[in-house]
Amino acid sequence: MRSVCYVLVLGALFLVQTTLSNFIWIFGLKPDLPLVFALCTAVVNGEKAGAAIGLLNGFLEDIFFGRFIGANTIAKTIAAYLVGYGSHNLYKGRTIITMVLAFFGTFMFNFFFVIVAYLTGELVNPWHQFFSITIPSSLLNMFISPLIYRGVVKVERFIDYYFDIKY
Amino acid sequence: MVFLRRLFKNRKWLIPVMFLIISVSVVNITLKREYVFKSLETPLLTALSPVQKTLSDLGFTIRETLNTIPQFFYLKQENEALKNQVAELLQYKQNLVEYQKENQELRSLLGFRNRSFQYDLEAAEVIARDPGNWFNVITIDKGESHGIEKDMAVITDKGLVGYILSTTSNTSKVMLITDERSSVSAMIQRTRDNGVVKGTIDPAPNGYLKMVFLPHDANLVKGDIVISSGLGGLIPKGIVIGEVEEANKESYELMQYAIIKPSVDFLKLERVFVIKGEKEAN
Repeated sequence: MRSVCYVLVLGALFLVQTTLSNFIWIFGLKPDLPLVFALCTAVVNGEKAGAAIGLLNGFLEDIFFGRFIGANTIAKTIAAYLVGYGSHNLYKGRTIITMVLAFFGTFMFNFFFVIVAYLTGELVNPWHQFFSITIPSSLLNMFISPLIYRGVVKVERFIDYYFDIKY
Repeated sequence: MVFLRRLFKNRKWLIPVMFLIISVSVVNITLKREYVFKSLETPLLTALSPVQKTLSDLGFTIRETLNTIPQFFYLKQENEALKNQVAELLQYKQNLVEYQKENQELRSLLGFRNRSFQYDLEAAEVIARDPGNWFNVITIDKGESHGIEKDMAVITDKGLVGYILSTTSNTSKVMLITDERSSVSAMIQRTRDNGVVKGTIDPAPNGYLKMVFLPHDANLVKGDIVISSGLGGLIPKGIVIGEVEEANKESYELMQYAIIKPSVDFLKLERVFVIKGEKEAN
């Protein structure tokens, strides 16, 4: 049931991101809600759950907007896995920690995305604008991460209350 | 053998290695065999496109409503300005019709094939956008069943938007001209200098284009209109792409490049037209 809930939330965020993200352009860039959701899931539920959400999110993006499966799928899976793995010994729930992890995760996503896109010939010379895209998008994701983190915690409480504890 | 046995015993390494092998294989297969990717793409896009269309319509309605509220105060002034503009444009239209007739007569006198600037258009709505920040791809709500094919040009009343990347029966992916992978043959309308308009690549700032391979002696000034040149056969000739923001010499001085401001506002893209072909000239 937990998995179904997470997939539904991810699906909703993906739809919002792809259709309503016109409203949230900031300096020509937009925050990546499903990626932040995957990163927050990794923080709350561990690297495997985060990687699974990242994989599904990346797969959807590759199918809907890409020319092959891989760039988003690989980059988002690794980013979420690393964030989950790196947050093992951290005190979870503190806003600053969530924000730092979201920044790091987005940075890692962009790094691996560029590597895959470069190796497959999709991006010819990506490094000149790597920082001009990566830093602002990481900052944007960093600022929305506490909100999404709270959302993930609420989803957890909802699942615990209705499915794990009540029944 | 011992090494392999140890590797398989230590599952910590096995998972990343397996992930790497599977990822590389999937990338390789879907990149080289288009039908594999298409067989995954078609059912998902077909299933989700109605939801995307509904949400997208909702978003546009909200934005239009929000934009309309402050406009109430300027409606009278705007109405006057538009009336004047319509009168001016009608005059231009009369002149254009005259020029068009004259042009057709002269072309037929010279034995040239008559060209038509009227296209067979298919109107479409933007239903989704690439959520990432690296590529610029949109999805529109028309596809193969509406006669849309790969590589057809996509425009708005303002100018060139991009071209069709792939299609399913009821949706199409459009690569915007701001995408780093995009490349369009173009010319400066005033000087007729030819070049290639690339997407947002260095040193063009985000949302701007870079026109490369311009002759080193091309006399470019800020505000020069850039149009498609028709070379390459994908994009018809004469579609406005944007205007020159600045021009500079390449580091080796043999060529020039120009930074182009696109004529289309890609952040507010809602409805587009796909050029399915040219209408026959009379």
